[in-house]
Amino acid sequence: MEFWILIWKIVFIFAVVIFTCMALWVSIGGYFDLKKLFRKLKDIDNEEE
Amino acid sequence: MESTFSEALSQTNFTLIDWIIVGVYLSISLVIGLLVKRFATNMTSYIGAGRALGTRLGIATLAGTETGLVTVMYSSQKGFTGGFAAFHIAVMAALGTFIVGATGLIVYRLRKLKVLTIPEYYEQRFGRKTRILGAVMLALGGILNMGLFLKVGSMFVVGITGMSATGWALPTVMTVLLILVLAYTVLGGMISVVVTDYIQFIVLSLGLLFATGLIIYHLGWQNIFDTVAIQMGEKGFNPVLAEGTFGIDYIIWMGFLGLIACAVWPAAVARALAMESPEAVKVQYMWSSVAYLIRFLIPYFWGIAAFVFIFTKAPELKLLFFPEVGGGEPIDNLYAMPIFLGRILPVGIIGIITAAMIAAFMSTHDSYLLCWSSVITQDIIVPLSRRDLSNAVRIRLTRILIVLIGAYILYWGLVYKGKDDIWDYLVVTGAVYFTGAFALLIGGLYWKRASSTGAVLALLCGFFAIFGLEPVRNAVGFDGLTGAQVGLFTIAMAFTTMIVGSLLFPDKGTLTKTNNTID
Repeated sequence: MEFWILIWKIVFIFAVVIFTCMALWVSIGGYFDLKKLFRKLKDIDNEEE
Repeated sequence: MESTFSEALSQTNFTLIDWIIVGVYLSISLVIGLLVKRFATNMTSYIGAGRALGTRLGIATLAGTETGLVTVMYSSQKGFTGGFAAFHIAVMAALGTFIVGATGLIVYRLRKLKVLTIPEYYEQRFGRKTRILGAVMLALGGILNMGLFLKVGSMFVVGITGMSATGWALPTVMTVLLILVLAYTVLGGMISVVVTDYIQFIVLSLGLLFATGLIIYHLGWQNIFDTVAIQMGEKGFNPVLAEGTFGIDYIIWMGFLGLIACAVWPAAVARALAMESPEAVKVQYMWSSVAYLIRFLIPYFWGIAAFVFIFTKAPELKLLFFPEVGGGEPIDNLYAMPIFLGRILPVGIIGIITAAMIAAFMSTHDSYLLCWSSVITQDIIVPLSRRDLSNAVRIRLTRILIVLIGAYILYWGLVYKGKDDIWDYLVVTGAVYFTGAFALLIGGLYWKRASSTGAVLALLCGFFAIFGLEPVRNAVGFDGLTGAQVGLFTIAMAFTTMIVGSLLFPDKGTLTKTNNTID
């Protein structure tokens, strides 16, 4: 049982730390991706007109 | 018992301030959804966001979609009943997603083919009949699958806010949430979904991490492990233990689910198909493996924490959830986690966490509604129609279907009285579609000799997955089998029929000569 307790503690801590880093990267970078998306959709819109 | 339960629910820290926080958040989501409506001018924009998603936005929307409030609820239920041993499901899901990202399995090739939906690929590779049958199986499994989402999500809102669990509260919450989601999904399509998914990803990430920190602070890190060790023993940690909640066949089944949940499940694949390039899909999936890990792991932890809280700090709840100690019927253990959060989170924070959970609820509902309705339009109605339907007609049809599916989930949530474990219900209903679809996609994309007869036979095998539901197993005398064993058998059957059917009845003519088996 001690083995599994240790494994799940490591998995949990690792997951929370890496998710925190990813959430920061995605939150900041996602904003720039959104701007790019709307630029492209606007271009598509203009082409159709 | 009912009055004791109502009393237990009412002991929440949720106040008017929290309602205001939730209200402001929901209004912002709705307004944004309405603002981006003008971009949804054609089907590629409406259901594929113009195939212009960058990597980080793709990760946000995939994570937002696949981390629903229903995920949080059924996962916390698994943690509550299975303890830390349930963590293996999260690990398998993350491994599966990472493997798909690293190898590009299925999703890379689908994106390269520029299809909008999975059944559209079926037609290119196996012909129109396969597309329609595949779409019917997909819509059937998918819509049945989301049948309980609304009810389970609303149970969270009722549990954490302290409303009465009986009478008008639950149906009212269900109706209000549904109307909100329908409003911006119907109007803005995938573009609204992506934008709101992004905001919801930020709120959800903050909520998950912050609440977890508070839980650990409140209960104590070591105390959580110690209490599970005392109350559950080794089966609370060891998933391989034969006499435990899981076992080897369950772990293998979860390994398979880990792969298909990201590579075959249409709501996830829709994100891959909306990415700006096939290469971006790989990066999207590798990073999303972290989100696939967290979306299970943290809710399991919350469920475990609710269990620890009940056993160490709330003896009155122990009598409600474990009546063998005091006699009587147990109350639905889905309520354990929201009641627990309602008691330990302070005013203000509880509003933010509830907003985060409603964010999770909305980001899943909007994507699923859009996914199933667009499949019915694009892959059933359009192929069956004798004339080419314009973009405007297709978008109108999709919008009508979104409303109809919404009405169905409201109805199903109110009338369904099954006692199946929510996770089992979801896996079995989903398996009706994904067992056959997995064989079709692997065969179609990677095996040149795969034929339309093999494809149809493999799709039909999906119906066998229904026997995974406990009441059905018992009714037909399969009670010696577990749901996991039935699921694994269905996959084996789908692959066998795909291979045997293709070898015995190869396609004649042009179908297999399309360029859809990429070398």
